[in-house]
Amino acid sequence: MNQHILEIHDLKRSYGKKVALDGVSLSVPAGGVFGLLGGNGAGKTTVLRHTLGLLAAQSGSVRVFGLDPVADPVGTLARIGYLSENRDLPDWMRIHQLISYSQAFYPNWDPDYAESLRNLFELDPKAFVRSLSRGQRARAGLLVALAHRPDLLILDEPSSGLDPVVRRDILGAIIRTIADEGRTVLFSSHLLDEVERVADRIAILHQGRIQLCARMDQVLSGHSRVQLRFSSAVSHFPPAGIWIHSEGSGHDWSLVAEAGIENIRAEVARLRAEILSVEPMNLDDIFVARTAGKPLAAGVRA
Amino acid sequence: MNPTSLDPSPWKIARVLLADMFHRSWIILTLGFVGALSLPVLILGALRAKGALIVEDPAMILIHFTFAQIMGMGFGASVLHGAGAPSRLFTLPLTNRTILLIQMVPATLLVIGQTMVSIWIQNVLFKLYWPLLGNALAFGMIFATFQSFMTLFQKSALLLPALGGALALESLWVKSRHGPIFSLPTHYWTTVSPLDWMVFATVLALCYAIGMHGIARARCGNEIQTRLLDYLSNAISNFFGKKPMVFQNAVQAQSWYEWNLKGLVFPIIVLMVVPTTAVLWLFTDNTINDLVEALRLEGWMMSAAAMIGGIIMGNMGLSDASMAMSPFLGTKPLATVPWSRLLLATAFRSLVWGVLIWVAVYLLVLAGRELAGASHMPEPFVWWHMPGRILAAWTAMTFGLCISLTGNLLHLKILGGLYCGWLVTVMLVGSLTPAWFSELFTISTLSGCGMVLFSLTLWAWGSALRRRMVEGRQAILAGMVVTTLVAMAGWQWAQGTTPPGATRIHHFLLVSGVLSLAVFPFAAAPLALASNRAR
Repeated sequence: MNQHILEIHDLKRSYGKKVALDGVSLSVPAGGVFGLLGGNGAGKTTVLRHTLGLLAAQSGSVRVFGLDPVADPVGTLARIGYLSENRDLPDWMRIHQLISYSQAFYPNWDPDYAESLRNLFELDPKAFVRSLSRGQRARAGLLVALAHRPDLLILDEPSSGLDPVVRRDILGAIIRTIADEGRTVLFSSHLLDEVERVADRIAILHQGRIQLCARMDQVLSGHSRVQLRFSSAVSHFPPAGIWIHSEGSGHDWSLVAEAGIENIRAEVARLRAEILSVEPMNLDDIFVARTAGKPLAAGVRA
Repeated sequence: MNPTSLDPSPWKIARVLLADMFHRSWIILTLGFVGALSLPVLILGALRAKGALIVEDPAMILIHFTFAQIMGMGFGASVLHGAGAPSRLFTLPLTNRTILLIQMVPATLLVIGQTMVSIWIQNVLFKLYWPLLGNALAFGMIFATFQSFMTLFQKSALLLPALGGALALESLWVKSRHGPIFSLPTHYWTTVSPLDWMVFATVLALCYAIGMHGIARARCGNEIQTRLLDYLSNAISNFFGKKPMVFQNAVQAQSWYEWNLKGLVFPIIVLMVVPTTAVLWLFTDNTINDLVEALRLEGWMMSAAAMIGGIIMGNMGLSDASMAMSPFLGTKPLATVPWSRLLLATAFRSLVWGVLIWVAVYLLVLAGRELAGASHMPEPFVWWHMPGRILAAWTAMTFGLCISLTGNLLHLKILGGLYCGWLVTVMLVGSLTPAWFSELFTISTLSGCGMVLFSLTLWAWGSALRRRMVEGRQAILAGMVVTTLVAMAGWQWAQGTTPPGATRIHHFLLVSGVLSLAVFPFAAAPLALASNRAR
């Protein structure tokens, strides 16, 4: 049995001369919450659009539930709930019309669950979509995405437009509930504290490439901030080997390492430097280190 | 550094915005210009080819009057599109006056200039002596009125009655410049009198005042309120919207979506065109036979409205500017082939409603004609005219639908560009070469177009068959339909209604190509939808 609900292999996509995805490979296991991180224009939405079959792969392959979403949209989309970044719901519909309309597409639609979500989100069934605030639109979109209890829930920037209470208490609870029921949530975000709170696995996308893909606990335990003091002044310390990010000048440097403490000590000894401190890192710092780093190069120049 | 150099003046901003407008919209403006000029040039060209273009004929005054309106409206629409909504300027450091002037002055000048240039081109091409200034200034005035009312009323329910009233008054005045209001125009508007200038100046000053008031209100969100109309509109909407809906399946739900959003467009266009025809008839020649004739002609012109309706129906995007399928629709688990079929069914339903409206009005006028005791029909009854009108409207609507269904605005631009390019070439050939060559060129290019359409239909069916979007027996049925239609056209030709010789085969090729479009959408719609869905 295929344990991966989504498999992307060497996916490439260009818009004219701009490369949006440059050989992305990604596997999302069934069950749990998968966070796709990246800055603006990193390619998160493009990956999600390929997953939904809204974009055909120019090169590489995408399989959702083992199916090609472009060739078999019904087979894949019937099992996917999707909340788009732009909350593009039809303005002319009323909420009850939106619910009735959406229900017709999904055999597994749960009317009681839809009604409970509508109450939870405080949506007036007679209200027109065009009269909803951005946050209310997000809630309406979430209702439609959730009510058929999809095997895969895809949320593109789900927190955008939601107030902190809804974001933390409702969205977080829904995501965890779905994961606890054995279903899968794939969501993109650049709100890293939120991702750190709910995601089991993450992938960091930067300039159309996957920088990191691992379990959340491995990501957090596998990165450390190391304060070093060199015996002689160092003018340039490009990230290489276990070091993925460096800041500083002269004798004192602050480095980010992707390694265990033993490897760090061995590497520091090789550099003939002294460790001042080794601190754990949060996802925010890891993300910045991963995406704001300079191109990789080898060697230390004194 | 001089600190003032960091603060651009409002006029510098205005210049930048205007340059940006022309940079963004030059294609639309060009297409609008050539497109608006195309119908008059085609008709005048046809008249000349038949030797019916007589400069001294009084009917030419009506033709001139009508063409000026067509060109003004056609180009005015593209200028409005290019100018954009004034709200985009509200957050810039510009005064209300500057915003209004940016919106209105260049657009109005463009409309005036375009009308003058277009009339001049017709004068040169067809050796006419039509006056340039009067109608051009009048259209500038009408355009400024349009813009100022749009600015004041925006999306208010009062817009239509207020604008309609103002435009009706202005149109009556323009009509009075060509002779009595309630009859055919009797003379050209050759001299713009001081009184005319005063009218222009007064109307433009009023437009300025209305526009200023509108921008002042809109800029602080204080839009025109129409509580009674809103209440009525909500009451009606609540009455219909409260009905609980249960859809049996996805196709039924999507059909409801398509019909509610876009299905009524074509019937509404027909509903708007019919009374417009009646009003125009009232102000030109109020004999009942002419109204019958106008409605009969309108039946053929339904194809143009149908194409617009089809383009709108095929738009699966979020707006007119973005026709790519929206994620909301793109993520619906509905197979492409049934989806495309329900789109065609919606188009057909829309077409039926539009045709029924037209037929009802036509029959009503015919009954009125009988009651009035009119002596003879202006044109004898021809059996295939009614199915011909419906077929023409169907092909136009579904062709527009398929083009727009691809979700690529470029396709529409290419189509418009090809049409404009052909038209300009025809105009040049018409003015630079002998009449026989010009006619041969026109009919040869049209027959070539027929062959392209035929090939396009074959390609669509071949591709759809290869991708298993249609079945072999459906292809056979489509082939039989096209063969029957072409045979019927051939039989009609055999009755001797077309000129003999070389042009007969050209006409036949053109008509065969157009007839093949009757089955084109059944293969092209799923292909277009599939390409829009996964780009």
